[in-house]
Amino acid sequence: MAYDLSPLTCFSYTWPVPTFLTACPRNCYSTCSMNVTVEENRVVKIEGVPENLATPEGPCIKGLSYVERAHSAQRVVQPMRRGPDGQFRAIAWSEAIELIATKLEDVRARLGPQSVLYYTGSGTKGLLNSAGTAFWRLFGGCTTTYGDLCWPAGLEATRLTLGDNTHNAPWDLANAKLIVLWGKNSAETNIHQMLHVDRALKAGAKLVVVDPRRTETAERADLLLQLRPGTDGALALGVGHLLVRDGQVDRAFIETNVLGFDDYAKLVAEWTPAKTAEVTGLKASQIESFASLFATMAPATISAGFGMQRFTNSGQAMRAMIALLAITGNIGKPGAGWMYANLQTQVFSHVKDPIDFYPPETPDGVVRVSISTAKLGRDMLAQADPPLAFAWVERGNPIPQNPETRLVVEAFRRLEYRVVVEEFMTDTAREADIVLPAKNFFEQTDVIGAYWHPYLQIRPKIVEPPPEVKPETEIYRALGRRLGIDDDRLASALPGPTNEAIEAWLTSKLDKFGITLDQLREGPVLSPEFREVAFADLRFPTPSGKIELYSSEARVRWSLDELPAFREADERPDRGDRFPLHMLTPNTKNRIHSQFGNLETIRRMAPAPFVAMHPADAKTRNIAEGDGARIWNERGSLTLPVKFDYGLRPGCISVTNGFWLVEGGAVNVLSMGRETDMGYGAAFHDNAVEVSRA
Amino acid sequence: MRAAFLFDPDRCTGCEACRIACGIENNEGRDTGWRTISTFNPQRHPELPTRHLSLACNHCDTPACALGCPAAAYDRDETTGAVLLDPEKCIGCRYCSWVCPYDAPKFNESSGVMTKCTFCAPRLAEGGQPACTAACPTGSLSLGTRENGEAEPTYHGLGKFGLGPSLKVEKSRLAGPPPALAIDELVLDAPSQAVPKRKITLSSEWVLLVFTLVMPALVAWLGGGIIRPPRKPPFLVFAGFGALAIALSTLHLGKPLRAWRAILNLKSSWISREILFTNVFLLLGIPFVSVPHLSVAFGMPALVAGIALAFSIDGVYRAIPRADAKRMHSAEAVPTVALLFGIVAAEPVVTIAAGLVKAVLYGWRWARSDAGVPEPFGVLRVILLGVACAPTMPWTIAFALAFAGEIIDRAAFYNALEPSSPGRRMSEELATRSAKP
Repeated sequence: MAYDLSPLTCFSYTWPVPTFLTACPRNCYSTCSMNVTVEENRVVKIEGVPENLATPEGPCIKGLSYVERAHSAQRVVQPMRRGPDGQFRAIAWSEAIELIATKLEDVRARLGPQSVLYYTGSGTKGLLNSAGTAFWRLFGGCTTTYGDLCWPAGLEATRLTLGDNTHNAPWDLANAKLIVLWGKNSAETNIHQMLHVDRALKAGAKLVVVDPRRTETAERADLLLQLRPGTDGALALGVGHLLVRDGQVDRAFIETNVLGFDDYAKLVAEWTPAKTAEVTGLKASQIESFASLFATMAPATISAGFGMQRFTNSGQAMRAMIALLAITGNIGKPGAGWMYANLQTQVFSHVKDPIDFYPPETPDGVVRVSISTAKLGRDMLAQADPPLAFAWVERGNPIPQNPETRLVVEAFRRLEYRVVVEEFMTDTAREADIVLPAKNFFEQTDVIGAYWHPYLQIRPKIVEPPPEVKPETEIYRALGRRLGIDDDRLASALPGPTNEAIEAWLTSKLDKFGITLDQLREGPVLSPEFREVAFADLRFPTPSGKIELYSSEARVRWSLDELPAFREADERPDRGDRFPLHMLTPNTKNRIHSQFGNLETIRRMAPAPFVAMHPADAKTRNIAEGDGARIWNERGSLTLPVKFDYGLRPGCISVTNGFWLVEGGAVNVLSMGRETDMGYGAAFHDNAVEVSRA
Repeated sequence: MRAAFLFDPDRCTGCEACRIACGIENNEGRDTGWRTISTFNPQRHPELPTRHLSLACNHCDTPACALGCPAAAYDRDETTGAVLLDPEKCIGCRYCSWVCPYDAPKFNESSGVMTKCTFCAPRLAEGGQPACTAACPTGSLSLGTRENGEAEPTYHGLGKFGLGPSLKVEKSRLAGPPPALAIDELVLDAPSQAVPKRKITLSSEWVLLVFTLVMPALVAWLGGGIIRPPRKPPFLVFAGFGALAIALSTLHLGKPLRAWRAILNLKSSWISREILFTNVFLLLGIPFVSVPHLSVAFGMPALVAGIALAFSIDGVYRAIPRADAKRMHSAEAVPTVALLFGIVAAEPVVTIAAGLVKAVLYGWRWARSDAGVPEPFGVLRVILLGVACAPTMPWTIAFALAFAGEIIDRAAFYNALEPSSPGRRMSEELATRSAKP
């Protein structure tokens, strides 16, 4: 085959066929390195890369499923236009570009460029993603979103407390003697972490899991704390109370490195085991066991998940959790620390997350950053001067994935025109006027970082895309030309069309770090900012230079208490009024959000959505296993078959997120578009519902 | 020393990457069905831990599949130790999937032959490891070695079968469920888990029901005819039913045209012996029943083959691993032959002895609520047995009634017949645990 792969010869085991080193670009902790075998322009095999110390054993089921996904018959492989009958028909690129450009010129003339919403999700990571914004600036501007669906409350809590989102190397977890997986089901969402957890446990470490669900991860726990959802902050304060009360704190460490300990000690004084137990729904003895593990087992690492910080009170909760490590001196040491987000590879941006996705302090008048991702539907509808008329969606599927699906659908339908760049006919693509085929990550070279491990990785072009599939950079070039943007200006925003040009563009980004593409082709490369042990120098880039249990910025920026005080989340299903059940919408091993579920490989394991209920909750509602159940609140309803799960905390139900509206399982028809207390995150899990037999 | 699968249960999260990798390596990405992940306590009942077991073929030292295969379709690859199935030799009788306690061989409906894990022998031969162990993202499943005579692994879903499996299971650090919220006020049901779908059902195996009733009946009838020549089976009946039994069981194969291969493993396969003795019995029996006034001596060789056939039929089913495999069943072929023979030969001692054995065995099963058929049928079966044993009954009617009773019991036999498998053993273990006070 005559495609230009000559410079890409990488690992060669004993097989005579070429294998290529690449990395999975999904929004996932693991960002696995993969050895991909290509035969006749097809991905035929995917295997692990032991050189990546974080994921040495190989990718997860989703990584393996690329063998199907890359060449799936379901892929969108040419531009599609929705006809008046709602059916999509293939059209030529020239026609697609003409239709889109005509509409763009029309709305720009009538309403201004900011009537165009440029919406991107987290579907594919890569440096080339920045080309989109550069293009829309050439167009004259656009409207975009701020905040993030995923993890901002935790990022901001970490930034306020420690100054930076960085943590020890993933493999350092094996050195811990106490591991707390707080709201994290690593076995499903960061399966590679389980290797390091197991290494620590085999060496005698203890594992505490804090989760309303008895997850697969929790099976290994020495202590499982199934607290009432949304009360993590109270639990952290209750543990802090016992540590302070019993003098189990590291005075010397606090003296040198912690700001606000005395105020913190006053705050936790009221969080007696009795009060903490009452608020969290745990037993006082469980809280005491947890505190005593903290007092006796060192070093301790808390690895916190994302689900737990999707509440309206969770930024403060995360700060209270970090405080436990600060007061016990569990920061800056091997086996110790706060493992939440590791942005050591985010070296290419001027500012790091979460600041990177906050609205700019001084708007530039070109790109209007005015829509909260958490409130996408509501804010899209509310835009004025100009209102939105056109949406361009890339790498995202906001209809089932952003909160309050009903409003998101309404907002999209209210627009004059929608273009979605997609690999598959997702719920969002089905709402489009034009669907443009998206490349997959085997079809254009790019470089990616990660947010758990510290490696920079290349994901080279290793197969030719189907003939009518263009990478986004080329879609923008074609559109730009049609819109009359001259080639020089386009060239300033977009790398050239050939693989050599893409590589040159990437090389220019890597140059200042002294990293070459050839090095990346040899194996995953540690980021220049890599530190095996984060904060080992005990320098914290906070205003005070210390770990801030007392944060003035919390007050100034977020109007929150300077201390990590607890307040209840907005929705209170525990009060037993109209909506007495807590709806949890966790991620599963089978998907990354709404991706992968359409593949046969995955459908064999997870063919259809269901609701997990504790048998006790089901019985009081006269529901038997297998019955249909209607889950409902003021925002919407879902009808799903019931599976019994004794592992759930009674009062909680669980539907894994990511199923599509067309599959009848889109969980966000029930969630509320609402921000977290800090960081502009989405408080998906503040979600009270009732269930009745369908 | 031999290559073996190593399984660390504490690391297995039940993710199924091993199964997917198998499909990619061996079936262009589609599921091979060779590797199965079974879960103990999937509902996470608080009294018990939830555990997974990932299992494919264990390439045993004494492979039950190969020993039971009538067509000699199995062989061991000497370089890698892999037990391999030759799809060109397999006749699609599915018997290997009944005798393997690990549920490793799988029937492929479209090709009509069995398929099974190859240990990725080509990869192994090149110094690599199987796709499944290579893919395991947690390092739970890996490739290692095992000494001869090493103790059998124990874990949820495993058991002692004495086959020398190439499987080692690390000792689990985890004894019980995670210490969690004690929900004192909730009264919980006992733990339970779904029993896997059956491999053997009466509706799928009715052909075998016919075969294992018709052949013993013909043996008994011929034997009775030796004692009482006027009662010899008529040629057309004998040859007709014999041909029917052979034709049905041949068409029941995934590859009927390869039926001749079914006698290639007389050394160790009860099926091979069953098929051989069926043919010998019919070939020797036909001259005896078709020539009038032939000396009874001509019937004796056929009768010997027939008795061997009855033992072979029972041998086929005795070899299937299951909890009650060692226990004699009232519908087994040998007592059935004896019962019917007694009736034809008008030897009430034999009839009543066989009838008593059957009645006792049946009553014992009944007492364990294990009759295997709805109660009215069970009652009918007992009545038929009793009436048939009555010495005053004309022999033809007694024979017919006894045969009808045996139909019911043999149906019950197939209804209850299901090979032990990892998933079944897990649900049985859960049921046992929940039965404890």
